[in-house]
Amino acid sequence: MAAIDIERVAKRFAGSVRPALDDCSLSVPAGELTVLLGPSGCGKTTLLRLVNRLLEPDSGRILVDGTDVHTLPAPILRRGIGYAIQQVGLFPHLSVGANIATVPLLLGWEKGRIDARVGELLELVGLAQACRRRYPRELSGGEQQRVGIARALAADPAILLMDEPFGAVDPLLRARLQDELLAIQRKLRKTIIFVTHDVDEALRLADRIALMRAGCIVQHDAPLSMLTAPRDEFVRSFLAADDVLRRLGVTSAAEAVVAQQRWESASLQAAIVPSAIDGAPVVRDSDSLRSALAALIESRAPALTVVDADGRRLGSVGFDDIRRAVRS
Amino acid sequence: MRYLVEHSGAVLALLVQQAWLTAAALVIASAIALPLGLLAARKAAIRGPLLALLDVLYTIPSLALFVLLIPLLGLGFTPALVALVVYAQIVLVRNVIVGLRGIDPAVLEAARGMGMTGAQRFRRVELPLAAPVILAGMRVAILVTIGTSTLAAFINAGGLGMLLFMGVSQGHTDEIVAGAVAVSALALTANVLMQRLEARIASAVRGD
Repeated sequence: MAAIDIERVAKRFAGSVRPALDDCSLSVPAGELTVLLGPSGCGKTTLLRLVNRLLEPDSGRILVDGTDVHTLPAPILRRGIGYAIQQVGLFPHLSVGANIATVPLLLGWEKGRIDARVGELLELVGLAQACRRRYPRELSGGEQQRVGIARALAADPAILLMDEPFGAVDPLLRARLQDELLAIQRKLRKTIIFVTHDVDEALRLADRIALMRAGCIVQHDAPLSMLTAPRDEFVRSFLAADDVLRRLGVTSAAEAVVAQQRWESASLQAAIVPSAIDGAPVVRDSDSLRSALAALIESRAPALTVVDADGRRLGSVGFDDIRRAVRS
Repeated sequence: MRYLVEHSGAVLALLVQQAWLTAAALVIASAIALPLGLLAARKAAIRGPLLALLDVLYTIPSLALFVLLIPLLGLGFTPALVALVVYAQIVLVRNVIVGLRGIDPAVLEAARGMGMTGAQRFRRVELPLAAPVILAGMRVAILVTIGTSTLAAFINAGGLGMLLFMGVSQGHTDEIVAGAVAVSALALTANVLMQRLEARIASAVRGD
């Protein structure tokens, strides 16, 4: 676990009038996935590259667990921070196994420990063990990106920096890789900074989003708060915060149950929920209302049942409750 | 051909002499071209002027360069070696630059981002990936050097050129043929060996 504190950093590239970063501060909590979101040229990649010192700030400082990153030699710092980029950048002359083993080798791990770790990682990112001896050019784009993520995680760094890692793959595969990243994150609880310009990707992955514009962080909040309480017109329009489907996507089914109860106590009447009929769809409390709504429409049932992880029924919600949950 | 058979010992001695001159020139030339090319690949400010200078040097006819070096270094092996080293630079340096700059920037970015030092990046990533292009440059340099070193006999550096010059001045066609056949054999052998090495390295780098 490692928290990252970015304190008042500024960066201007030679020959450019406008600073790439203008007095940026950001606190990235340990174990969370923070998305740096913004239009191209807003400084999100620059900010990311300051953390592992691929770039140096003109002023300000960056602390990892309270330690200024400048107190460490850059190569040593970087070996403790995973790094994955859009173009992946696998070493074409090395096997998949050797690619994944890069940082452990730099750290001087023993061969046996490295072999075992490469095996673990292939499994974690969903690649067959036989991939170990194959070469990058023999892999599909999705497989290459998985190897890139395995390589970034190889030495079990507390921090992972990801620069549009899924930007170059087709939408279907992107959604799958996003799911896999979320699954990995649930298991490993790394401190992740993830750069993207894709709003849907940000809403899907982020514990918190830092929305950037012209070298400044405009708003830093949880995805739902970003949508329901955008700080200004830029945030509202960039996120298309008024888009109801988008809100449904970041609201959980459990919140519809809460909205129903809140409405009941406010209006002093029982919500008229059509009783769940046989064959009514069942959704998990953690599912998004977007998928809940889809299930409801497809089943033609008037209501669906929300259950928790153990299958206990939390309540039944209908169209009205879903509407209340996203309009609050 | 009879000359070649009857004087095979003498021809072999000349061939060894020329092979030795060629090899010495290439080892020295590579030792200079590798760091020079690396520097030029990294710094654009050095790259342009350096390539321009090497281009100019390359346009001086080889025989003229041999003669120009006589006042400075006299006759024999040393001036021949210097001239050959200078000639090989343009091909070698250019290929080192092309090889290094042809590497996918994302690969270098990843290497840096994962904490490789400059030296580790060079040894583990840049050199292996640039190797096929650098080796192709070496093959061309070897062929150019074998051809040019034949002329070095003109300034008493020995080698198979001796047979050619003597044959021409004395009108002995046999000697000319023997010298030409031996030089061609040297060049062809070097070419085949280098092509094999290149193919092997290239397939290793591609990941086969």
